[in-house]
Amino acid sequence: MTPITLDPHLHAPARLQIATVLANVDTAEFARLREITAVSDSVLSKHLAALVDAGYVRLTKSALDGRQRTWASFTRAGRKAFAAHMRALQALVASAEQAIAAE
Amino acid sequence: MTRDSLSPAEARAALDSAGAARAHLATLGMCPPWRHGAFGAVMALLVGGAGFPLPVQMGCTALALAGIALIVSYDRRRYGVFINGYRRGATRPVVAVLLLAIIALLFLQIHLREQGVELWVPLAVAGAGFVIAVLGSVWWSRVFRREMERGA
Repeated sequence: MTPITLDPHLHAPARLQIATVLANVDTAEFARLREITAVSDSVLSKHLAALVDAGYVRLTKSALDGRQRTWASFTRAGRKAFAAHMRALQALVASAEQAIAAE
Repeated sequence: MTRDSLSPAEARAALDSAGAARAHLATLGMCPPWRHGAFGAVMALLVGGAGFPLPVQMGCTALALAGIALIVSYDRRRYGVFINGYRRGATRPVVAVLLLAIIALLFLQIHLREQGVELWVPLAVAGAGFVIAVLGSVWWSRVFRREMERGA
């Protein structure tokens, strides 16, 4: 049986939520990500920095309504890692359900 | 975070949190009617312009491009995200159908222009482009919302 490998960069629930959003949109603004993850500015900044360091996320700054805003988007590596991580989570849950059904 | 394994219950909780993020995105797929109309107007300009001489055609294209820029700016401001219509996923077939329909109308428009038809004809074709684009936009939003609510 192939071992189920999870991506440690995507373990944290907030990071998984960030990744889920970025997998479905082109770019997401910092404030929107904060609303979805329900974490503080500083915690979100740390999660984004960790994802940037992992090479999964790209941050850009652009002005909107006269204010500088931060936008996040997935890199190709991030998209790939997220898809693999989700497959691993689903496999983990499926194997547990199979084990329960077999009992 | 140094752990590299999760219990099945933790994996289920992680999938649920991802589902909650998608559910949030699903609510963003509910565009106001005028937003669908704005997209329809952009497409109508592109289709309509093709039925007229080059200066009018270029003017319509410039207006359509400005309209696209305004729509993108509105989406980013209102939703805090930008979603490319050509994104991978369940919405791609919708875009393919819409694109084919618009291209067909463009060819029809060019053909009619060469026939030297009356003024109302290219306007009617542009109107058809508007209706098709609005319906396509509504359809795209529905499919997007369903995809987000259904999950990965």
